[in-house]
Amino acid sequence: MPLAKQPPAKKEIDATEAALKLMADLLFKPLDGNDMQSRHGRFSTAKIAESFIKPSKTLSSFERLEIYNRQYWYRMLDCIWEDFPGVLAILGKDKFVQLAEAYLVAFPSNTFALQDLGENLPAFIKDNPHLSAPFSRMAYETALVEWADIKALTAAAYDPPLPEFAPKILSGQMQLKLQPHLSLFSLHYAIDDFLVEYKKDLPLHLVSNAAIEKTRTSKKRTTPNPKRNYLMVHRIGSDVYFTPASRSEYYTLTPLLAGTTLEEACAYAYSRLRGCERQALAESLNQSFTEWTRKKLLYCPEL
Amino acid sequence: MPAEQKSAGTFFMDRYFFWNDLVPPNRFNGMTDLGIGIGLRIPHYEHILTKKPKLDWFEIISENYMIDGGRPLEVLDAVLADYPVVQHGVSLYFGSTDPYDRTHLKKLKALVNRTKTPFVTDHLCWGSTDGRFTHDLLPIPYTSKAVKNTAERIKYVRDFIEKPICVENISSYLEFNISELTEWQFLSEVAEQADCGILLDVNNVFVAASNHGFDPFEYLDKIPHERIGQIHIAGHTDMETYKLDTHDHPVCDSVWSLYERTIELIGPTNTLLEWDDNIPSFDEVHKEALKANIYIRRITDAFSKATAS
Repeated sequence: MPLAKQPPAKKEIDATEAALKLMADLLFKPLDGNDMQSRHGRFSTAKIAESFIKPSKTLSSFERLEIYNRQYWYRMLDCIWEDFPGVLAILGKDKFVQLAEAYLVAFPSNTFALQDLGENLPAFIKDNPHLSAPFSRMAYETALVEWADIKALTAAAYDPPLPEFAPKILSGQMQLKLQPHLSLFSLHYAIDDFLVEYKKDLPLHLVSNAAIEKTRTSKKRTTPNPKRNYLMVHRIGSDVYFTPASRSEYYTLTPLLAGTTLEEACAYAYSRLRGCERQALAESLNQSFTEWTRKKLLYCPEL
Repeated sequence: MPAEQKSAGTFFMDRYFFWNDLVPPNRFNGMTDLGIGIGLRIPHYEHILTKKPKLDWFEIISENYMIDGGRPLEVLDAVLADYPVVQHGVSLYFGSTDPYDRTHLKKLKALVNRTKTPFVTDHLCWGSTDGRFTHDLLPIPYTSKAVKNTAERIKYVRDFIEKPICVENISSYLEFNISELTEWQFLSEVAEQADCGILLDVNNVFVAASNHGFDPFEYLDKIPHERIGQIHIAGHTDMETYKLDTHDHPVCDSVWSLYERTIELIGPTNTLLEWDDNIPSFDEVHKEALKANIYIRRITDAFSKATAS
């Protein structure tokens, strides 16, 4: 049977589509406290609601629309709240909600997957430092690691290369890639210790279809300690790990993430390292390779 | 003559032929007679994997497993080895007007191939416009144009994933001034034009009827029974001025009455209890779902007595 045609894109907006677009515009407007905003541009929201929504025996058109407006914001804010508990701990509830609202206005969800909602938050924090000042850098680094944690949970994992392929890989005959679940960071704060400690007692993250206002409780405000460090976020089996990396590991693996060959990656690392570190890199490459393979951080696309 | 006014014998004889001919199984539910299932939820993973409890079937939220790897897929594969699984989605938005993203549909199809689901269900709603997603199940204006658009989108998805589709009636909290049809007329028209099945959520019928002031039994009587492939039951919350579909309570008596009436009309059909928030133990959820057997037995016993006499 031939595939049904994709319904054609309409040139003119009919009344049905216009109603959907108007409703969406109103839903995406942030709440005023716990209520729907009373104005939409220079118009009264209640008047606009009356123009396309029937009142019920118990609720006005505005109140009926407000149910959906609240549901939208409760659901989106809960999602960001639960995905970035570390950023919340740093900023505190009020500042975090301000940041999340501004983020959701700038980056409403553009995919079916709710788990992708926070994808642009790290970059948003970096580009809008006033929203997290004076903790912008630590909030940014924490958001990076928290997003990497979420990504690692459901990213693909491929079988690592067998040891017999090592010579071919080292000689550049076979391409080597880092697993899609792995992220690497150069950080100024001990985000790993901070998140592990902070998330110890947090409740299990559950997403429900019906979003109602929940009492959002957050633990006491706290911040990560300053510490220059390199961190790998990756998965082994179904568990996500924060693994400290050495400088040489960081500078070798980062170019591999960008798609270079192992030889190019080593050359890059060599150029970035100091004298004694260069010596160590040369001596430990085989050992590092074995360790990366043991942790299943690498794979060969050809295999 | 309306069914209610017939003698019990005549009524059940009518039902007998209907049940035998049409439900279950039918072409909209992949010819399945699954029994009573519950939703696969994270707090129950450990119990299910270690105890392997006796259960007819699981329903999964498709979007939770449209991913590339990790524990959800490991759990799903383990569950698939022991139980039938049916996919239930929350993002196809049949009532939206944006063109479908084929990457989305490819991911859905990959999951369909993994689960071997006999049919796929999703909601009669919209939820995205101009590339922005609300992640909510929003009511559609019940217009003839919306019927056409919705039916076309259902057909497109069905042809893409190559599985029968059942559309679920939603709980809703508003109605549009431009609606030309009642909710059951809209559902029936869409199902007819798309030639698809219906996932009848009797809790949603109850919630919508309460919020909009229609008779839920009239709704059940008027929809095309031969298209019903599955039934949802669930709990909701009374917010005083309206009812909210929260899936965080046991099923209330009024909803069970609607369930019983549905079984009376169409015969025992694939039934699933949804419990998504404040989730109790697996056993408690399963026990609540199995209450459906009380109503199924009541109807089938009455049917047996009527046919015997």
